[in-house]
Amino acid sequence: MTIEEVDMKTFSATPYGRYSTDGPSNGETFRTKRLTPLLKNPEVEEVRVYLDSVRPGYEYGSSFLEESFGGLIRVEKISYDLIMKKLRIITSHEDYKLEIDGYLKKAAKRFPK
Amino acid sequence: MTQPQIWLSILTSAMAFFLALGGWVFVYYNTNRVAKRAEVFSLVGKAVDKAVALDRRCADFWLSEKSTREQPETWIAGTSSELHSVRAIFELLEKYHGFEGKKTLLSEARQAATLDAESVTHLDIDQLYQRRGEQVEVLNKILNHLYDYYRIRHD
Repeated sequence: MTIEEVDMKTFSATPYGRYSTDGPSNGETFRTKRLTPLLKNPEVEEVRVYLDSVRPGYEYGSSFLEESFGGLIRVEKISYDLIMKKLRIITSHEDYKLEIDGYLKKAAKRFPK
Repeated sequence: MTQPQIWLSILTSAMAFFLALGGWVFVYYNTNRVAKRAEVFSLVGKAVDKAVALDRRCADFWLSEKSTREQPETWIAGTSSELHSVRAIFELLEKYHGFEGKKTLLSEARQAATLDAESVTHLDIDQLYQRRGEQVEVLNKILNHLYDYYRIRHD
């Protein structure tokens, strides 16, 4: 069992948009390339996502957050319980955690297992 | 001097000293309170201005003609910058003046302003007005929250 760390700066210092049509550092790509493989890997016990390593002063857009995290349930069909068990959002900005949690809850409600 | 006169003199001096000390303490704390209130008033005023500017920015983008609408990418970058300013003011109020509710207000403001702004051209008029309604609702919530905070804590 391992703990995996995903540092946003290794993906992009300025993540933006929902789909690849919005730009290269979009939420869909982040989800499919970085989050989903780790969350679906039974060998990985915990996935820590560090959000604060983006460019200083940068604010995430909601489309990126919704597609990255809400999409885990909506598209990848990963259960809310599994996400709650494995995913840790590391940030000093509690508003991001609150928003991500809202997207996960909303997706779990709309797409129950 | 007789002994009662000595005591009277000591008592009078002590009373004068304590009165002066009490007056100083009163003036000190009152001045401090007034200064803090002015500081909070200024920060709350700035936060209100920023929130209104953010809302105006949303109205300009979400309700404008397709041909004159700013590119979503640049609009989101500018809006994020506005949100960052609001965050900075909320953080000062939170750190120094006991402001609460920052995380809820920021997440709701960001969501109302930027969620699916990239695909604004694909939304029909009803969806656009619905989004605009959500943005106005969040602005009202922010203004009410700030005003309540100021009145309750500093009135």
